[in-house]
Amino acid sequence: MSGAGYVLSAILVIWLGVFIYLVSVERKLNRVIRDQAFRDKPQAR
Amino acid sequence: MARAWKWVTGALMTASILLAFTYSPVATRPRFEGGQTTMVPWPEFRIFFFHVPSAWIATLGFLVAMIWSIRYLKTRDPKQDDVALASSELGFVFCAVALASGMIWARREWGAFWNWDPRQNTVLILLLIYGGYFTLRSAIADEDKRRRIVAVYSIFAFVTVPFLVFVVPRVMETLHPSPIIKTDQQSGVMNAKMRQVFYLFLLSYTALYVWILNIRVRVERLSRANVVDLQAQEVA
Repeated sequence: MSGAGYVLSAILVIWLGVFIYLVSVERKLNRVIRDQAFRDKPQAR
Repeated sequence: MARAWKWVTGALMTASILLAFTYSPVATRPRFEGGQTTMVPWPEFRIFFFHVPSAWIATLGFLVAMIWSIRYLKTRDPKQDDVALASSELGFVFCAVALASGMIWARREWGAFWNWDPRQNTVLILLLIYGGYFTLRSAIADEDKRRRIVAVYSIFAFVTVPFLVFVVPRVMETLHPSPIIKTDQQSGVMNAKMRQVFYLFLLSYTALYVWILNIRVRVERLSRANVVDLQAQEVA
């Protein structure tokens, strides 16, 4: 693999890591907000 | 739309990165050797695709922070302050990314990470100014007073942005390669394919900014609601 290939792989891996982290944070946030809404208004369940 | 946004951002950014290394041709630059000029490949040019959009998002982040600070001062609604805080944080992070990527490029092109070039200096000063914003936020205990003061600070901080980013580096002598973003054939090294990839990067970074801003604002509102909840429980 050429030098550009290594750089491309490294950037893609970093981006994938950032993307997965952001998706997991968003999912956790949605879950917390949903749980809180149920706690505040149990009849919504 | 909100659910699809992350996938659109993910696809845009992945496509941009792949196209920067496959679709965009390698730039060339002149080399003077033995009285002759030859064009040689310049792969380091690719850092431009990541560096300039980072600087763009930093400027956008600081601009949004200023606008939402003004909105807070008008309405005194903490929700406006949440956006100002989140956008300042993002502006700060992307400004740091722009500085870091510029330093990597400077190491390859100028021989050292830090050269006291006006561009490097002004971006560092900008980081320090917005570092002061976060320090100020953490230094004031009273919430209303804190929001009011940092909103005013944010407005004054943004006044320096056009000078530090656009005016000073153009007035002072700098090694920073500004001609590469010109698009005319005479002075530019960017051809049509490079420009297409560059604009795609700008779009991807903007989508990423909107996505992270949305997450950060919701986290801030949730944490504030929980603090208010806890305070109410303590009083009860």
